[in-house]
Amino acid sequence: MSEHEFEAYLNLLARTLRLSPRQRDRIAGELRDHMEQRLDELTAAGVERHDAALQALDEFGDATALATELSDSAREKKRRHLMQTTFATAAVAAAVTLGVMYLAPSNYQGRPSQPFAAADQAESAPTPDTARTEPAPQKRVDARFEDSRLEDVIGWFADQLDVNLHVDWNVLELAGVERDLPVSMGLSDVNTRVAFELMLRTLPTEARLSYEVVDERLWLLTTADHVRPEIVSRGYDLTHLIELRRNEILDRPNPRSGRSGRGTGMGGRMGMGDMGGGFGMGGMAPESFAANDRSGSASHGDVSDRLGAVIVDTLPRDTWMLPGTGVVVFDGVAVVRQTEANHREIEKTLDMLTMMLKHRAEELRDATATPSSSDMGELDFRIDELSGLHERLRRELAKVEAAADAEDGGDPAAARLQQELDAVTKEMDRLLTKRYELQRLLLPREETAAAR
Amino acid sequence: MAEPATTDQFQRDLWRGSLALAVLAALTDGPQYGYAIQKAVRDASHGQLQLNAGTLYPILHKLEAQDAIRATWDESTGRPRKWYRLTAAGKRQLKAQSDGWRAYAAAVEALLSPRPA
Repeated sequence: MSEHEFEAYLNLLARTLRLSPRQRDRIAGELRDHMEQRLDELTAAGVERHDAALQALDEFGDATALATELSDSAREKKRRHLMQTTFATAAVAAAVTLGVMYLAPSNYQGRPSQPFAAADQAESAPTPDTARTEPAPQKRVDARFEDSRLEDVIGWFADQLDVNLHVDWNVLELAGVERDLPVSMGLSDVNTRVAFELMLRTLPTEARLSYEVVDERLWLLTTADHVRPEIVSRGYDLTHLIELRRNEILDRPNPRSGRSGRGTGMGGRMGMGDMGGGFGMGGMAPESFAANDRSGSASHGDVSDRLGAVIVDTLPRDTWMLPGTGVVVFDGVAVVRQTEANHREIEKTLDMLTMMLKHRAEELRDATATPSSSDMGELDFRIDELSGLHERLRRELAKVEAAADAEDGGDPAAARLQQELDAVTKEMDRLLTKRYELQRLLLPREETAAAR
Repeated sequence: MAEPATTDQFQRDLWRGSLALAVLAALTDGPQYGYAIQKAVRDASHGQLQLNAGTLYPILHKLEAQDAIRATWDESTGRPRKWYRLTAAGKRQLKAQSDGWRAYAAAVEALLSPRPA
């Protein structure tokens, strides 16, 4: 009984800690040690084990509040540590440890699955295998250079990455980037591609270097101005959102809707990188948005239409003027052709939308429902989703902050991310508190009675 | 969360202002772990001052982040335990806060003492 209670509390706390798994384990370990000693002391003093467990837990107070305070301290500690390290090393370390996933450039398929897709996919009808791409293997290397020539370093990276790396030296030299520019870095066990990008970003030159994946094995290295933004096709499964929204329209809240049926969740990227053209809709206005939805009720199509409009409106109008961009919604799936950066914006919008619709659906439900243990499962499910989203935002923020640090300036993107992160944190805190309360309500009461 | 023996708001405010001082003071005799610190504070004050776990750990971690205390893990026993000890900065902080506390207490005491009319 007590063991179970302690572990439930520690799990709840650990989930709320916005820290690395190692730090979480450390904190949970320390608190567990305390709880066990306190439990021993209380039982030795004659308190029934069950009551002793409850009292020990009670002395810890609210898990989410405690987690928030401990997270803050851990971050403060880290900040101090970073300040003590040399500035360059700190920026590199932060970028590498926190930004690995998000530094990866366009067309990169090796990211973890999206939060709202992860939990759902197991239950949902399978999407065609052809629509998914296996994550690219992430080769790890030691990248150590001490005043090495840029040309040699690029050659080394081309070998490691196993690509033909064509360097546009004409453009680079015009921009003041010479072949014998000295390169120094000392990284071990890092993703090759991430290290390569970091090397480009931290070259001792004013010019901004970038590369374009011309073909799978052929990359072009040139200045950022000369790289064409790559348009990538990506599928977004909107069934989950449509369902949420339809329930709301019909004023018939159905808490299970998100977990049954064919919803594969939000932002479920299916890696349709090679779907080819045919979606070009340059200059499309939201009003002219065409939904090819044929799957059912009128409201379903209506919601699809509006979701398509949301995707279009998420981005500045001129981003849709780029040749090859466009949106098509078919049977609850939006196929979007956009640049990688814009895909990220779309994902964020859809994630936020899902979160808010769920929030509203839950409030409707709360007005009528009485607590039951199945509510707990539902809560856990949502907390899982949120912590995924939270983690993703946090990493992105860390990346943006690290970049801002490196440039020694503020970044409006960081403020916006922080805002989103705060919103998610708040929602997560609310849910975790609710879960904790629910758990207390659901404690077997007869066991309490027997212990007295 | 931090409940001294009396729940009086005034007492609570006083206590809240001296939590870090209490924790630092509990470490003057050498390294301790969280549970022992809690017990030391309780015992030294004859049960008048109580640090709940939910209050104690945030303070410990905050002091650690400020480098006033430093922690090491003892993994030699079956149950890993985190030990805290004062750093030089922590000792200075303790000295400054103790002096501040005594001066303040003396001033309040003087204020409260009956004076010749």
